[in-house]
Amino acid sequence: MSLNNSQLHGFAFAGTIVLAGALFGTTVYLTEAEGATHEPQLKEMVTIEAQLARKSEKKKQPQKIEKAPEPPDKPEGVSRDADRKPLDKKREDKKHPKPDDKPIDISKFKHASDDDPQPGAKPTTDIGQFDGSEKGFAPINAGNPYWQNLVADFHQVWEIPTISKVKGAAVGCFHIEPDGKIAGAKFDARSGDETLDDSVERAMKATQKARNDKPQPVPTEQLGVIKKWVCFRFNPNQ
Amino acid sequence: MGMFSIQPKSVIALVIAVACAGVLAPGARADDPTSGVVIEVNGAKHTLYPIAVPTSPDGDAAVAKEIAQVETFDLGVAGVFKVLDPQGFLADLKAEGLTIDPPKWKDVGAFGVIKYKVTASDIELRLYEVSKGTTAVLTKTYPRKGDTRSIVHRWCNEVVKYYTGEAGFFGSKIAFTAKGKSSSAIYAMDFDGANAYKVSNNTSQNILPAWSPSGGQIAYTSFMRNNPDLYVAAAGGGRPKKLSGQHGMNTGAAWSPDGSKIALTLSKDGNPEIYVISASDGSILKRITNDKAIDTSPAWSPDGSQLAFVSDRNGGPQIFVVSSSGGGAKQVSLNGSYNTTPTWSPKPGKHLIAYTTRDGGTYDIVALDLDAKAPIRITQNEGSNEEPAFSPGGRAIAFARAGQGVFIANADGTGKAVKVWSGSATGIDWGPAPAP
Repeated sequence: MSLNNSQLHGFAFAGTIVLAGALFGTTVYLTEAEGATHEPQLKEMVTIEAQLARKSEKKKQPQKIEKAPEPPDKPEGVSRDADRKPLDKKREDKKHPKPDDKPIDISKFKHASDDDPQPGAKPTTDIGQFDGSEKGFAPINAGNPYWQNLVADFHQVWEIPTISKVKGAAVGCFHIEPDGKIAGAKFDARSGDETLDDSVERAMKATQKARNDKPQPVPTEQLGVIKKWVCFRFNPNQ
Repeated sequence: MGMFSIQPKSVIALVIAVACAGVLAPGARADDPTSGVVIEVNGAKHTLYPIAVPTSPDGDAAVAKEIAQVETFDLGVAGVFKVLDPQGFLADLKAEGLTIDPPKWKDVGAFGVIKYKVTASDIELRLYEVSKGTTAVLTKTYPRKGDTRSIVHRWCNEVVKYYTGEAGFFGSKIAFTAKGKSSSAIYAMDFDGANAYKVSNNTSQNILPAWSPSGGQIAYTSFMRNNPDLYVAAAGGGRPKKLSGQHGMNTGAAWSPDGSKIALTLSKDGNPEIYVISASDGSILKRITNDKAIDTSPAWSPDGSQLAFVSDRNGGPQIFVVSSSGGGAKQVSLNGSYNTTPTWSPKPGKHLIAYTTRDGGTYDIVALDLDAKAPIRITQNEGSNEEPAFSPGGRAIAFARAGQGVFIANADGTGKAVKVWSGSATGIDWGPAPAP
């Protein structure tokens, strides 16, 4: 069978498309795999503010209350042992208050912050902040627990002597591996205050060591974040 | 030409496709919008200043050891430093000499390092801040005249001043009454308990010593002539001079800040009242209180405008404040039913009085901010503690712990009290700051 020139061109074009597609797919796959293990460049970093605060409460959907089925009534006093006597019914201890018993004033056990309105109290209109921050729904509470834990680790080790009056803020960055180990640490911006920068360097070093000794794997949904340096702005005076 | 003969145009198309694939692939990572997060870490933990005081490996080993010991004690009670345990030091002290290898000190948590060198003629001391590298931030050379302890106290005062801007109290002295079985004597010693010596020279009861502002004299009450009279002696000891011999009590002397007057309790008219007498001849200058209650233990405010004293005019003994020119007195102690032995903090800008308060069956030291009306606990659940006295500068408080001795503690209530003298002591008074 012989092919004419136009048929040959058609096959060649189709083959090119298929080959290019295969190469493209392979390259993308390899790049993704490489990206998770190679140290990213700090200059590529794009800074996005991410304020972390207290952990927000997980919202729970309203649950249907299911009542457990009542156990079937067992006839008491029935036993396979014909000689066994039926059990005595427990007498209900109906202790009536003595006439001289004073009623207990439960109001003294009540906490001042109890939600129940006090008798005679005016109806409250305080429903908290409109942005929901008091209820844990505001963006300020949107930090991922993984990063919140890392910030908590910093707070454990970041120390500045009281007599050292430091000013400014420093930005230090970690290169975090998917398994949670910290492969690299460096300054992105020094504060210019030697004591502050020194304290930040010590805190980062201590945290890096602690995390490398006991790595906490990065959650799947945060793997995209660690493709680049994750940076921390250390502000001692806030 | 075979079945799959390839034309040159096809090869060009393949090359273009491969090139396109190579260009597009990295773009997929660069456009990742979730990268490059900056997370805020606000508020560092505030701590004492970690400082390393290694013993110099060079020169006279005994002197080198003494220098390190005195530095460690002084900086440890200064209230702002945490002196690091030398067991953990990583630096090669011999190789370092008078300089430091900052990473080695950073690794042990030191922020500051003190190095020194002892020669036959002098002692050179250097202070390094680890964050500032190998250049010393403070250097002093002292000729080896006098005792080594005094030199190190002066150096430690410089170190405290470098960090806080305030003068240190190292090298100052504390006077106290040492109780014996049948008598009591006035003693003075270095603030750290070293070089204690007897000031009074009789076998009678000698109580309630008070330093003159210059530090050259000590006033105290003695029963050597049976009546409790007020005497003044040179701070180094020797024959005392009777300053006030009024009938009855001549007790609780307190020198005015300018040294020209002494406030004390006199009971010449029967009831104990507060008076001010001349420090030079003992003549009565002013009667401060006139109340049927018992008024005792006067203490001058740092500017000399007020006097604190103890009175039971409202029931139990409480702390009152009155103008040093007389007038109405105002109760300032707010806690408990028994508060005695007030003393003013000399700290500039602070209106702080420390006193003894009864807490259950024991006594404790409390410092009260007169402006904020906020008492600070200096001692708690550590025996019975009485008769506080502020250090020069007001950073520390000395007091007597019943049956144990003389202690010093931070005046802000932090840290643990340190014993500086063992024995049965009362009537603590802390002398003025040493000459620089």
